[in-house]
Formats: sequence, structure tokens, C-alpha cells
Amino acid sequence: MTFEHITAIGLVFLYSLGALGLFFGTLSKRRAVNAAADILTLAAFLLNTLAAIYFFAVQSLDALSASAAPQLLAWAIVFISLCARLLLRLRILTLTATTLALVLCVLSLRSSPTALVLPDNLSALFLTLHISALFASGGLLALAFGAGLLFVHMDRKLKRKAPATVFSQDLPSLSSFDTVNRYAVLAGFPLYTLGLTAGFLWGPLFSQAIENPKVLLSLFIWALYALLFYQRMALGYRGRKTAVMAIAIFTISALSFGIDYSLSHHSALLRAWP
Amino acid sequence: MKQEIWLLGLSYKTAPVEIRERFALEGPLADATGCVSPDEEIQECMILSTCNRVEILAVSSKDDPSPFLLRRWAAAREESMDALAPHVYIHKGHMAVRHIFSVASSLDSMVLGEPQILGQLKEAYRKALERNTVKVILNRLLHKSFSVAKRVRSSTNIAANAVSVSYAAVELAKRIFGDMSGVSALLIGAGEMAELAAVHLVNAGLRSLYVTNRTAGRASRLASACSAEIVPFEDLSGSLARVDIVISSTGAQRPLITVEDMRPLLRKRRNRPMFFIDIAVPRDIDPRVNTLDNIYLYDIDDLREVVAENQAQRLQEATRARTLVDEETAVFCRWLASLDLQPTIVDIIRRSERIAQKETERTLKRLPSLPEEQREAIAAMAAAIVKKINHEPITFLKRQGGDQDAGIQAVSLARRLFNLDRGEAPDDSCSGGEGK
Repeated sequence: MTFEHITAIGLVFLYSLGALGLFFGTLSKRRAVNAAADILTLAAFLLNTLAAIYFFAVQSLDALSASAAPQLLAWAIVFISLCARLLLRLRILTLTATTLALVLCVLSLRSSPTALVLPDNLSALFLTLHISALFASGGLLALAFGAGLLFVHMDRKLKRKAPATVFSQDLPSLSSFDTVNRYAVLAGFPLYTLGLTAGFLWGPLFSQAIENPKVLLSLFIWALYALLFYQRMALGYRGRKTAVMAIAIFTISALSFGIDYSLSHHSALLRAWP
Repeated sequence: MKQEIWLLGLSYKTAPVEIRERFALEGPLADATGCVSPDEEIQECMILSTCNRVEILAVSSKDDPSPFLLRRWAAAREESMDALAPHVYIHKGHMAVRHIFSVASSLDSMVLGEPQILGQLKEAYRKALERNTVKVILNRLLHKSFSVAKRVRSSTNIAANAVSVSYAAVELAKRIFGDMSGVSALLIGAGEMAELAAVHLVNAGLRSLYVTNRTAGRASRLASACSAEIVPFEDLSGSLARVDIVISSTGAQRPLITVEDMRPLLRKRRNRPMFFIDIAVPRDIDPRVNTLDNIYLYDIDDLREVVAENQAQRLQEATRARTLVDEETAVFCRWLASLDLQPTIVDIIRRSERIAQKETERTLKRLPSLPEEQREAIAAMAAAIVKKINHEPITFLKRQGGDQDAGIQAVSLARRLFNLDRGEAPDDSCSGGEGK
């Protein structure tokens, strides 16, 4: 059993308890449950951080294994949600973040721990930039997704004049979710663009772009993201439409991430590389 | 004689407003009549007098002090006892404790879960403290009732949602905008409910309020009543582009604001959300406006429905809250029962003997070679030490028992000193200045 697998088991355990605790704490409003959930989430994040530090101590981003990648992405998602919680006092977004982190850690548990060995001429700064910028934008997109889901839920309730449930009555306002969505897109799109550009400049991605579905999908996501960015920043769009769009972009990105995994896309690219 | 808690009162449930007015016991009146002065019949006393209830909470060692209290109450208002008695409910002991906990938790209020009653109870307690009419039992009872109310509020959703139309409108606005300090509202027309909603919005921290009316005089009156700015009625669409909340209650026969008016306005507003509260009948705002993105429209029926649902939710929560009140009542009554001298002396002796026995066993375990005779001597010595140590506190308690108030205070202190209630006793610390 490798280090990634051991940490993945620990992370699955802690993130699942944290997510369950946050869910039941929100429903029951019991202070003890909420406090326990916060402690478990922080413990999971701490373990995630230690695993990331260990990873960077022994390897580098350009030797990312299939089991380490989801853990790093989970770390980025939870880190950004915790920052949003500290800055904007939006506790509920930690619930969506821990749930996504849990899914990623399960994926890590089921993936190969073998590190991708790159030829020296491919191991470059652009690859590190490609991965780190995309992980950061992934974390921000997950935040926009969580805020978007909650916005759509509340908007629907308000439009239909449905009574406030135990879950919805303590939720922050619609405007708070819209603000989070706005900031996440504002910071996430440039990072996504940077990550994608670095990937193309790296080499293998650029040469195989046309025939690879993953690359085409990434370009499609970028186009949607650019549209959302333009609508938000230039046209001043806000509310349900932008929330739905953020949800759609995140869903397609998650699919793209899944395709990357199932097709071992990056490995295939490298094998094809002369 | 054992002291008992008594509660006599009338409320909106038992007496119409005319009777409540006639028998209200507030401020100077209560002082002047001496109705709250503890005397031979009554050892402790406190009055709670609000628009919905008048209650006298007393501690007495008499079999039934209620006729005496009723006589004093009626005399204080120069009324006959016959006019008062039919409307009065009387609770004793456990039921009195349960009642005051329910009152503090707003389970007995006209509007279930309303927060004012707790403040009124604290104020009544503060006055009783000033008059020096509350001692050990009522002190603890009142402090405990404040903590029960807090527990009920934090553990249930009894006060979670608004139960008046105007408050419901403010709550909905908060769900849309959150912080109200950057939000502005426009009041179209004049109407009592709309005005009330506007006042609640201003109290919630609204940035600015505008009013508009076909009649300039009414607009001016409203503006001064709500500290608002007047905008010309002819410039309604211009004003709509600026504000976030619109409260409308005109007598217009056709909608003032239509979906066609709002579409271009939304673009002009760069899709900032808007909340429309239409209190007018016939409605001032075209219902199709609600189909537009970022616009939320509630008419009077929608708001009433929200209120009805919130009330139903509070009723459900009240069942949970009553269970909490029952639990706390049982704890308090156990403490109250322990205030008798004899059970406390027995508890002190038993506790000390238990400790002595445990420590003797522990010591003897370390000395296995000790002959039986010497083991018995050590056990006897431990028992004798305990007896001697207990002698003085028990004598002190018995001596204090001659005076009822001093006796209760001494028993209460002894129970805390020896931790006889294992932390179950209600806290009577006066922290936070509640009622002080």
C-alpha cells in the first residue's frame, strides 16, 4: 500500500465524517454537531495539507500520479472554500467543498499510484504552471458551483413562494451567493486561461490538440468560461443565469476530468510523443 | 413549614382587555399599594404586568395564600375581588414553575415565540430586586427561567420566522439582499401595512427610503413619518431604476408596473435584483413581473401565506419546546425539594460517609498484612473524623433553620458547598447584569 493510498483512506474517512457532520449540523442546528463537523473538516484539511507537503518534498508536480492528483485538487477546493468562509462568513460552502473533496479522495483511492515519468525535455516550468493554475481555477470553479447551486435553490424557493425549510432558513442571502460566484469567476477564468495556455506551450498538448477530445473539451470549457466572464464583467449579468452557467461549466469540467482519468489522456499523449 | 411557589394571574386567555386594564399592576401603582411587599404571609414576591398578562409570583409557607394575594391585588386597584376572581388562574409548586418557564420562553404568548416577553420578565425581576422582594427561591427561579428561555430559543425554531405580514416582508428582503445597508426602497401610495413594512425596513438598516404618491400632501406626510425622500409620481420608472425594494399600496384600478415596463429597466439596472411587495387590492404590479429573472414579487396573499406557514411551524416547534420546559421544571423542582433541612443533613452525612468508606478501603488495600483488629480501628477512626467534621456545619444549619429565610439560604449554600446536587442545581449567579 502506497503513501497516497494510506492518506486517501484517511481523507475519505475524515471528509465523509466532516461532510455528514456539516449536513446534519445545518439541519439540526446543534452547536455540538457543527463544532464536531468543523473539527473533522479541519483535521481532514490538515491531513490533506501534510500529504501535499510530503508529495512536494519527494516529488514534483510534473511527476503527478493518478492517485495524487485528485488529492491535490481536493486540497485546492477545500482551501478556497475555507478562505471564502473566513472572508465572507459563508459556512455552507464548506459543505459542498467537503463533498467534492470526498468524491476526489474516493477517486484517488481507486487510482494508480504510479507516478508519470516524464522525459527530461518535457519536465518543464510550463507543466508545473499548467497543473497548478488549473488546480487553483478548479478550486474556484468548485466554489462558484457550490454558490451557484445554493443560489438556484434559494431563487426557486423565492420565486415559487415556498416556505423556508430548516435547511434554507439559515442560509445566507441570494446576494452573498451571487457575490461569491462573481469573485470565483473573476479570479478563476484568468487562472484557467493561464493553465490552458501553459499546457499548450508545454508541447504534447499542442501537437495533439485537434485529434484529442479532452483538449477540444477544454477549449469548449474555456469558451463557455470566457462567455461567463464577459457577461459578468462587461455586461453586468448576475443572478440565476450566471449561477446556472457556473454550474454547467463545473459539470462539464468534472466530466472532462473524468475523461482524462478514464482515458489516461496525458499518458497517451506522452506515449505518442516522439 | 415548607415554602411553596405560587403564581396567580390573568392573561389574554382568561380575561378581555377591559379586565386586564382594570387589574394591571404597573410601576408606581405596585409600589404605592405595597402589593409586592413580602410580609408574614408572603416571603418573596414579584409582579409581571404587561398588556397581555398580569401575574403575581410569590413564595409562601401558608397553606393557601391566594385569597390574601387576590384581596391585596383587588385593593391595589380599588376593585372588588368578585370582579377579579373569575378571570384568575392559580398555579402552585411544580405547575407554577412550569408556567413561568413557559411564559419566559414565549410559549404562553399571544404570538408564539415573540421575544418581548423575556425582556418584560427581566424588567419585572429587576424592579423586584430593587424593592428587595425576591430572595433565594425566586432569584433562582427567575435566573433559571431566563436560561430556559435561552435554551428553548437556541434548541428550537420557535422564533425562527416572522409571524406578521410586515416582518415577513422584511425577512424576505433580507433573504434576497442580506445586508440592508446598501439597499434602498420606494414606497408607492399610502397604506397602514405598507407604511409599517417601510418602518421595519428602515429599522433593519435600509440605506434610503423614497416615497411617491399621486397626492403631494400625503407623500409629504408619509415622508416626514418615515424620514424618507419624496420623488415625483410622474418619475416612477426613473425611480424604479434606482431602488431595490418597492412597496406598493395605491388604490389604482390598473397595474402601475407591468412586465413590459420592467424588461428595459432590468437592463438599465444591470440585472441588480429587485423585490416587489404589492399590498394593494386590486394589485398594483402585474403578476407576470415575477417571471423575470432577478425580480421577486410578493402580493398580500403570498405574504399572508408565508405568515400562516411560519405560524404552523412555530406551533410544531412549541411541542419540542414544551418538552424542554418540562425537563427543566423537573430539575428545578428537585432542587426546590432539596431545600428542606432534613434531606440536606442526610445528604451531607451520606456523602461524607461514602468518601470516608472509599478512602479507608483504598488505604487498607495498601496494607494487606494489617491484623483485623487494627483494620477495624482505622475504619472507626475515619468514621469518627467525618462525624466530627460534619458536626459544626450541621449544627449551624439547624441553628439557621429557626429563621425561615436564613435557613433556606444556609441550606442552599450548603448544597453548593458540598456539591450535593452534582451540578444539577439551577445557577443563581447574577452574571451579565440580567435584571440587576
